[in-house]
Amino acid sequence: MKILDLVKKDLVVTKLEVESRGDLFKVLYEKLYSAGFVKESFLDGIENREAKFPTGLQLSKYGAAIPHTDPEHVIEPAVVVATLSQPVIFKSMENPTNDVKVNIVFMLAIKEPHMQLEMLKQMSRILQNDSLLEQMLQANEGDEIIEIIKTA
Amino acid sequence: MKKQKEFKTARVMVVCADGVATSTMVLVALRDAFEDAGISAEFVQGRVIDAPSMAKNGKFDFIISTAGTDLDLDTDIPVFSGVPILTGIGKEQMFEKIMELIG
Repeated sequence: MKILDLVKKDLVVTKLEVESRGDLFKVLYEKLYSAGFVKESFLDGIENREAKFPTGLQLSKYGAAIPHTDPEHVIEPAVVVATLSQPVIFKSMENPTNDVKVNIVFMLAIKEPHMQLEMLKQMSRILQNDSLLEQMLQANEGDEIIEIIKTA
Repeated sequence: MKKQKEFKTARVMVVCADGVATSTMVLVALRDAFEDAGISAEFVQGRVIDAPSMAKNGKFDFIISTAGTDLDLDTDIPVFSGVPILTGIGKEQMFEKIMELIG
């Protein structure tokens, strides 16, 4: 299963404006929940997991986060991609006492990791490619993000 | 004549918070790197809270964790952060350290 099997056009948000990490999670969860990909418990799952095990990743130019939670909250696998107009502060996965200014978020609803292997590999490639990230951050429409992901 | 290096299979534990997402990303990347380097390796994947009991029961050469490296182990198995594998930052240095460890 490739990342584009999981990232649908209506699961992409560009230049999202949110005040806080909590608001960000609500907006992205809403997308997954209303499309039937996750259970209602997913949002709490995401919040709890992020508080205990943060998912902020300081990349060379940008900050990313990959919030996710236990498969029990997931109905069908999906990925939401969001670029943020203003960075939102996450704690760092590497060192939870550090902050990461996050510009791009991949919220993962994962059920069976071995089915989603190719997706996870592609996501690693995206996270490690500054120019792809830059293109994604500049995109205004979900379609553009999808086209950029295709090249990863 | 060079002495043939003893055949060895590295045993690696990869853990993350839920044993699902980032541990899979790390495992796949490391498996590919080992394959390229011609190193045979066995991987065990799990949740970070299970790392101490898993470490007791299996003979691991090292552990990689994306959920902190302070794992409260009773043993002195080296623990690496898996984050460099996710971000690419410091990945080469980390691979070098691992190769030294198991070489």
